[in-house]
Amino acid sequence: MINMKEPLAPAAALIRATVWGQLVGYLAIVTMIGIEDAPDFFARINLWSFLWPPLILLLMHLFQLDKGIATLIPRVWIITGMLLLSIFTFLAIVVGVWLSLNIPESLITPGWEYTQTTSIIALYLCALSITIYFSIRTCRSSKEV
Amino acid sequence: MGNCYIFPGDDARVQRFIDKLEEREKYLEELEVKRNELWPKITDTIATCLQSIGGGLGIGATIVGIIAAVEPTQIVKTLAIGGAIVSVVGCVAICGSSVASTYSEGSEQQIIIENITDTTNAAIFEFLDLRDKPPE
Repeated sequence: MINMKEPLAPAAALIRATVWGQLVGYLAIVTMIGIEDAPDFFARINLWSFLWPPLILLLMHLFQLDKGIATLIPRVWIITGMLLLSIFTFLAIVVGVWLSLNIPESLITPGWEYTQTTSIIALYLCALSITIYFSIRTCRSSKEV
Repeated sequence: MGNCYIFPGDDARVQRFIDKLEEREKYLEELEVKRNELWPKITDTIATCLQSIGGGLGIGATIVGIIAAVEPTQIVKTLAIGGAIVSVVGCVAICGSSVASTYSEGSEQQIIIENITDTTNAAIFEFLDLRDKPPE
């Protein structure tokens, strides 16, 4: 049985921090696309893109899924999974910004210029750093859960 | 202020110049489509990665559940380790291939940019030729 009053174990904190980081980053990108298409906000994205991230967060906090997974799965698998997720999504963002910037200046349209939002890299780099920090903390922790 | 040049339409060079400009316009539109599709594709990649890792953790939790439910014999342990390895490899493959497919957009984009440069140069060549050697 999961005790909700107990302090969050490092593995559970790692899952929570990673999921938050990824979903906040995801929401930032879909908002950026929506603003770019305004007033036709949903031209390239649908409403579901905005709904599923808060839904995942709600489910995670409501059912204590982070604690549940941290209890069931060995730490090494959790650390591997969270690191892979953060590294791959960071790579996807780097590729996106690289493609946005890799256009000759003479061909840059106002729209393309807008997608040169390199700040999104900073956001995902921050999410990756948090995951790495919590992974190291989980590795060093002697407590299993 | 720019200069205005008027050439007769029956000269082949004029037609070639117009064709190259139209081709250039077509490639510019293609580049614009790529730009529009780029970030939604990135969000799809992120969603795919989240799903695959979430699925992998789900499989992992199921495997641990099975081990806890039945007697952990050597066969069950081997199957569990095998299942865990397959789930990790699966996550890496799904998420990695999604990132790789986004990266391959780069080469497609580069080809379009090269085509724009080529058609622009060809149009400039025809124009300079017309300007220097105008039709009689």
